[in-house]
Amino acid sequence: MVKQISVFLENKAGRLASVTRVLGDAGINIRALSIADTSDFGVLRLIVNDPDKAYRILKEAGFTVSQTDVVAVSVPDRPGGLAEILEVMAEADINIEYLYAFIGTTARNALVIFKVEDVEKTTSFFKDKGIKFLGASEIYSL
Amino acid sequence: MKKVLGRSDDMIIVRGVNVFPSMVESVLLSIAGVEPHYLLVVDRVGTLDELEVWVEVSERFFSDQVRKLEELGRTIQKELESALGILVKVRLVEPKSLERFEGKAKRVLDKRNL
Repeated sequence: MVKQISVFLENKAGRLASVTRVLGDAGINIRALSIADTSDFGVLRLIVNDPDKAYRILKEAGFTVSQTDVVAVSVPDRPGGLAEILEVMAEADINIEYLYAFIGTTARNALVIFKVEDVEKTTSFFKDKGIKFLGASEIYSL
Repeated sequence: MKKVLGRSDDMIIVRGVNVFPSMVESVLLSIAGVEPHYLLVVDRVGTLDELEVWVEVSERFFSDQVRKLEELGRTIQKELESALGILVKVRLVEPKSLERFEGKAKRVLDKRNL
């Protein structure tokens, strides 16, 4: 299971800078990130090489942090690649809370991080359908 | 007698309505997911007073889903508005970000030039 780190960010100058500085100083490498923003606050979502350490370090530094299970899917990096996977998920009634994508180091595939309600159900569904998703070790060592 | 420094209950008047910090506190205590650490910020925008309530999100409640945090904000707002009888803006802030006090807490930040 891939673990995502989420951090509550108050709408204040320099908050994001200090999160990334804390992670950087602890030698934690960010693999992917996205920010959900509202007018008052934001939620920073991160995939890092060592989520347990990142969680501990951020907590010690006084940030509000949580860990969430997400699914990382390898999507063919060509027009329509994501659409195919989303269509299959829609047919199976899998609701997506949010997602974010990044292009992997292997140029042929892009990676999409999905937050879904039921991670177990989704991964076993992907297995059945032959959709390639990545395990924790593969993601963290990208 | 020394000069009067302020009210012991920190009551403020916003748009003609008496607002007691203790009322805000009891509303917050009744809602799961918030810490009873708060600050009332009053300002005058144009000719009208505006009340903002800053509330700390609890560590346990924090979620990666913005939707849940926004719902929490709305719940607090509704509860406060029905208890106080005036419009309130709620702002969620990070845990432990509001000042802690020994002795009498300072719960009001009045930015109006009265």
